[in-house]
Amino acid sequence: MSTTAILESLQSAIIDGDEQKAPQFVQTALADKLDAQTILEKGLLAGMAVVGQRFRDGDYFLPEVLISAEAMKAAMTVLSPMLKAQNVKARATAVVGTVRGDLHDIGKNLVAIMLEGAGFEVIDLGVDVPPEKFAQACRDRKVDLVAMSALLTTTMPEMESAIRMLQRELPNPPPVIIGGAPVTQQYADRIGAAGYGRDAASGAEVARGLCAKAG
Amino acid sequence: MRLNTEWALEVGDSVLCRFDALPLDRDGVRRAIGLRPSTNNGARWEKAIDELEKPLRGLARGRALIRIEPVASLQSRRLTLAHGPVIEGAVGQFLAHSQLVALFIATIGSGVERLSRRWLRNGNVVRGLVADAIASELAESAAFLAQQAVRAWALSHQMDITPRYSPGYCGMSVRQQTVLFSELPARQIGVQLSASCLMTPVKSVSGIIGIAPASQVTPEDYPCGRCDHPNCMQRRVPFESRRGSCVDWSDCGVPPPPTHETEGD
Ligand code: B1M
Repeated sequence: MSTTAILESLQSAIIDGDEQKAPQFVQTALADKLDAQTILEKGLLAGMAVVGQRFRDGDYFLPEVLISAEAMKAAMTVLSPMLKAQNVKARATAVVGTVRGDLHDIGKNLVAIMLEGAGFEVIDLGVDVPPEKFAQACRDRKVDLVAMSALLTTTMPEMESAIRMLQRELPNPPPVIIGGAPVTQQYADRIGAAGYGRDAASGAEVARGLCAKAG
Repeated sequence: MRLNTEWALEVGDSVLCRFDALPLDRDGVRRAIGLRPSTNNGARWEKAIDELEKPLRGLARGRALIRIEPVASLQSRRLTLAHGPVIEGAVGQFLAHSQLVALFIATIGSGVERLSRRWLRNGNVVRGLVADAIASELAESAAFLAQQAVRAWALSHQMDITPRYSPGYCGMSVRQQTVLFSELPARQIGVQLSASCLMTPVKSVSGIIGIAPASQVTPEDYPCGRCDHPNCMQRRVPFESRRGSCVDWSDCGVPPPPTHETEGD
């Protein structure tokens, strides 16, 4: 199999969400002495980029996108040790969390999975995350994006508190994207969030757009 | 569904109900995941639902606490129980005519939730999400069975019930859960309330059900049919504009409708 054919097969496995074949093609690519970064960029992330395009075009919906994300995760279990060994850095780092007072995590978990699928390294702070913890995570290392989730109208205002704290405490606060059942684009605009995701896949698209713009 | 008359509900007493077999609405699971007939790879999701339904129903621990109390007074936004506690919200709309109310907390425990989380963490997205959706539907079932137990009691007393009304829904702050938790020994079913008034295990539901003469109430009479909030995410009846609202949604907690300002100026 040629290098191009291996990478194309890997892309197809991701696009079709084939969680059996995706790691097998990563093995094949590694056996073929392809470097880990090429496999990641030209195989996995290229496949996920097609998935993102199909989602934007309305051909794929969340269930299809998530199946692809699962295939990506399966492929990453094989590729991750090689990326580490070859010292390949992620495209960007995102901190994710459900805001203070809110215990809902399924939406946030899906956002984390989709961000990984878009090439982000994800630091998951969990649920019930106070503003200080978001700020601390951004101080501890270089963070390119903060993603906040809330599922209740009563906990939504915590997003604004956290954004204010990041603006107050950090010299260069990273852009914040928000989402969750009661959250709207209007609300995001009002509290000064850089982006809003209607669902996990759109959240990852918005995140990718913001980080591409930044650099 | 057959009404369960097994539970010896009594006015003024908390009763613990155990639901051994919780029914599962598979269409509800499909809706929660966002499956459509045309979903590519839909078979993968269906397979996961098939595989997980039985074990997860086995793992779920359906429990509810129910307490029936007489009503002292019912105003549009304030319900006072005969022994003193007060519940605030759109009670006049949801619980109209109630002479008694049943307070309840229902849960399926934390087993399914934990499994779902573990699967998601390990990259098992399909199983994780299916398990979460099944758990949500089973929690709904536990609340429904609690409601059926109350209805069986009401019917046996020549009465019927109003719809279920939960803190956090339409016009009732989630903070009203503190009243329910002070009236029911939630620890008996392993449910706790956080400072922000959310329950753990997450797959739990709390609420109030009105009980009134059968000629005055039905369990399906949601006030949504009389409410004009155009972008309410809690709507159970389709929105038809300009019907003339008789429900005050100004403080219901749902974001207000967008103002039609011109953009870009
Ligand atoms: C950073 O960028 C981003 C971008 C996108 C982001 C993002 C971040 N974060 C999320 N997203 C987005 O991407 C994800 C999908 O791709 C989405 O994430 P979600 O987390 O929204 O979606 C999940 C994948 C699936 N969605 C869900 O799991 C929630 C769906 C709805 C129908 C819902 C369900 C299923 C349940 N609930 Co309840 N529940 C509702 C929900 C109404 C709705 N339409 O959303 C909501 C959230 N619940 C509500 C309430 C009130 C409650 N619920 C309760 C219980 C339950 C069930 C147990 C029956 C069940 C499971 C709950 C759970 N969290 O596991 C209670 C609380 C439970 C508790 N633990 O305390 C209770 C308090 C009711 C009660 N008194 O018992 C409402 C909150 C209203 C409010 N005031 O804010 C509610 C909006 C329902 C309603 N119609 O009003 C997007 O929002």
